[in-house]
Amino acid sequence: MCKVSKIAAFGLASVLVLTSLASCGGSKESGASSQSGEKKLRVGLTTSSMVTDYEDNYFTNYLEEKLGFELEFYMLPADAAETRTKVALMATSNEDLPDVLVVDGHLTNEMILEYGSNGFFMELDDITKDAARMPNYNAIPAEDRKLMDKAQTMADGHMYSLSAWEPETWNLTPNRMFINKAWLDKLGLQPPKTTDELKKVLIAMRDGDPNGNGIKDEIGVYGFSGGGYGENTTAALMNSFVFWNGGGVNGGLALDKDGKTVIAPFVSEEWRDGLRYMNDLYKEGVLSANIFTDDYQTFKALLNQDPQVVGVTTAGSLSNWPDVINNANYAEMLFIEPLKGPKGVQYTPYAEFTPTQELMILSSTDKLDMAVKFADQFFDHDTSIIERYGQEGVDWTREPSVLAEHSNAYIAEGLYDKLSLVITSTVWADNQKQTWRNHGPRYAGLEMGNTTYDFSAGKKFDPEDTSQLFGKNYKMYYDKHPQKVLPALKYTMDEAEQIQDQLTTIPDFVKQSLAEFVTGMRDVDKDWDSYLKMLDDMGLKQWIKNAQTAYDRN
Amino acid sequence: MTNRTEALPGNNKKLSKRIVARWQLYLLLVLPILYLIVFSYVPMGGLVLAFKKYNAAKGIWGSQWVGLDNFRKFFSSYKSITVIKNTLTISLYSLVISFPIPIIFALLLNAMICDKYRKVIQTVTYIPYFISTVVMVGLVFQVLDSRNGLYGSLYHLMTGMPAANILADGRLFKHIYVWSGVWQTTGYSAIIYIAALTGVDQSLHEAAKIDGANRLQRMMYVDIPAILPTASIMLVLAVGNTMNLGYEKVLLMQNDLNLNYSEVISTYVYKVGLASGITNFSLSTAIGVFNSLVNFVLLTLANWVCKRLNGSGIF
Repeated sequence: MCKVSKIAAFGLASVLVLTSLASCGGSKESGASSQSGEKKLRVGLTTSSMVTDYEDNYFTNYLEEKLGFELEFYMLPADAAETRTKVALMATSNEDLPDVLVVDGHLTNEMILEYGSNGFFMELDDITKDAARMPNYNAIPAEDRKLMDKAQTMADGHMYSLSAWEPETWNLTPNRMFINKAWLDKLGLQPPKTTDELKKVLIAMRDGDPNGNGIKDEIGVYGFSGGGYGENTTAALMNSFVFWNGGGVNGGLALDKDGKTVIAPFVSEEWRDGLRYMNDLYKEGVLSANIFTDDYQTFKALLNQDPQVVGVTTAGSLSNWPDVINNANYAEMLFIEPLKGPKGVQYTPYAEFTPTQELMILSSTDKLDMAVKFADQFFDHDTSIIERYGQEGVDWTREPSVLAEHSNAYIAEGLYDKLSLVITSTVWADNQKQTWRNHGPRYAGLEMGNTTYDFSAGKKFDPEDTSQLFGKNYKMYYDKHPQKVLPALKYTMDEAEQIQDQLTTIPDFVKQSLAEFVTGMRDVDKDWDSYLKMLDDMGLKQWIKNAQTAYDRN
Repeated sequence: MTNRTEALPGNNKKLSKRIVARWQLYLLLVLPILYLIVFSYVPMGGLVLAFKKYNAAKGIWGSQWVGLDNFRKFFSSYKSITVIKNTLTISLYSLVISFPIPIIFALLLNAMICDKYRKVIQTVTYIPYFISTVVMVGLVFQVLDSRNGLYGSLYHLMTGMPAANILADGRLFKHIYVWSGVWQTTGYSAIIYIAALTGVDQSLHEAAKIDGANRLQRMMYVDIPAILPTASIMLVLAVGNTMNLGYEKVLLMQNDLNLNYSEVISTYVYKVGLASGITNFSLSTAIGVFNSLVNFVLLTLANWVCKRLNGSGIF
């Protein structure tokens, strides 16, 4: 009996030990096939969970046919942080490397600069200029290509990556403002055009019980300051006083009127006026402190509460009102222009379209010609469409007869004559093996983006549909920013290091102070100087100085 | 009754002989030790990063030495004092509250006569432990919402006035953090004490009863001394974790209005090291090392106090 249990114990223990060891050694097999077949290009590709198959994939097959050689995949994680770690490990180990990387914009400019300048990524300055080697890239209209070149050039003046150029206008101005039209009608008021009018309207809403439930539960201005897509109403209101991009790009720095000097809008007198205005609304009880404390769930819940309690809000996505076409609360809302401030300022948070850096060639490759051909193929017009939308005739069409049947919001607003493409399948929303889900460089001009219509839901464009705001947005919001806007800056390693602390702390501090000034925890008149002093202590000057240097290099 | 310690083979023999005699147990021990080596001791080598300027191309060992530069950077940052202060305030507050409460709870539960009722209470208080942090914080926000939450609704019902937004007041952050933690972990933490209490020799209770001790006195003189060794070890363990405030929970609970009170070392490390566009692993590591050092001092102190008080510590 004793013997049996001894044997059992030994067996159990050794099994445990062995399994733990076995799991450590499992991952070696993936690289083994790389030596076979010299005509294969090895692509390190960021995966997407929605692509079910990369080998038997329409886009893979399409590329292989166009290029005349086969592709072999080295899968990278879908998550941005994991991809960065993986690439960092590649650079450190320098073993078993792919020939090219397709990273879905996951690497930051600083990373690209670091790996480029130390020779892990190949410098592409001459290759991109060579029309014989990159015919498609050189066929891009000069104006757009110049911007792409600029975006691809890192702080040391060299290019290490190729980008995706696919501008559109909808996402650049997400702080779309909505006001409750039903309430306005009930109170006999006009939609406000200026900040002063807004205040009057809000006070009337507060006192008039426009939702008719007998309780004073109307919130005037509502929003959600932690929101990443236009939900921060305070940013929209601040732009009636001074242009502020909302703190995302460059931590909220901007350009002075001369278009040359980098400034911090959040230390200006105009900013202070904006704080005063919002503090005033807060004191009147028509701007809710919930803007600063609510999370996304609460935000959405409150927007959709029955009866409606929200007077004014901003939002980028209409999905904040579920089933927007039939949503009763959304039906009461009216999309209005950015408000004019007392000094006539009428901006909206805006960040320039910045191409994402998508493809790098590794210096260690011995198949440079193949790699360059592969990279260039992405800039071909048809490839650019297929990469994003899938197979022609199946997922999309450019049949003139079909195009003529459809329209879209831009055409309805008279911005374009006719469509160039109609999406006919739900490939973007599905698990599929038709595309790589738009991973890779690309060239699709603004006109192309604006002249497509998404017919995947089987619903024709209806100009009466109040949820079709693309055209209105373009008209009312797109140009509401200063002529010159500070582009996303690229710092050198040294510059970045000097202002590391500032980049982490100042944008947070600004948002926090804005909340405190608006809710009266700090006094706009008394505590303003200490606020400035605090920013000074945190090294704002150094930050602006480095930003200026980085901008001037541009 | 035979003397058990003498029955064990070779208590005075050499280590190797003792291992051979009980090899099955040592074989099972291999796995946890391996785990500790791979996941705890080997990564500790990475701490040299705190004294280097990390360069991905050169790797951890090849990067350039910079001495105490990273530490200097942290202490000269305007945030450092706030961050250290917040970490200490929240963690000590949390320790003072959430350490004794499970003990009291276990003692009360133990004193309960109805067995079925006791089991129900134990299960109910135990359940919140299994709620993930994200959901937990979501729940807290919902309950404390000043308009539609339980708090807001009750306040409105009682006073007829709209409730103040308590999530907007940064000074209340630590209370919300600590007490929601109490709600979540009391049931779970009490288990070990309940187990210790079940192990109390019933004859002691009987003897106390015969001597005329009432329920309270039995609790004072029988139950508490019985769980004191467990409690002191738990205290040392808890102190060992003081500085490791759950960063997930703090990060999720942060908003613009409480940042002055809610930024702690671990969230700051995360922001410097990963969340900002420019990642600085060296600075993050340096702050982490500082955090661990403070924690180490606290732990040694707690252990020393425990040993002084009742002769049992961890080391």
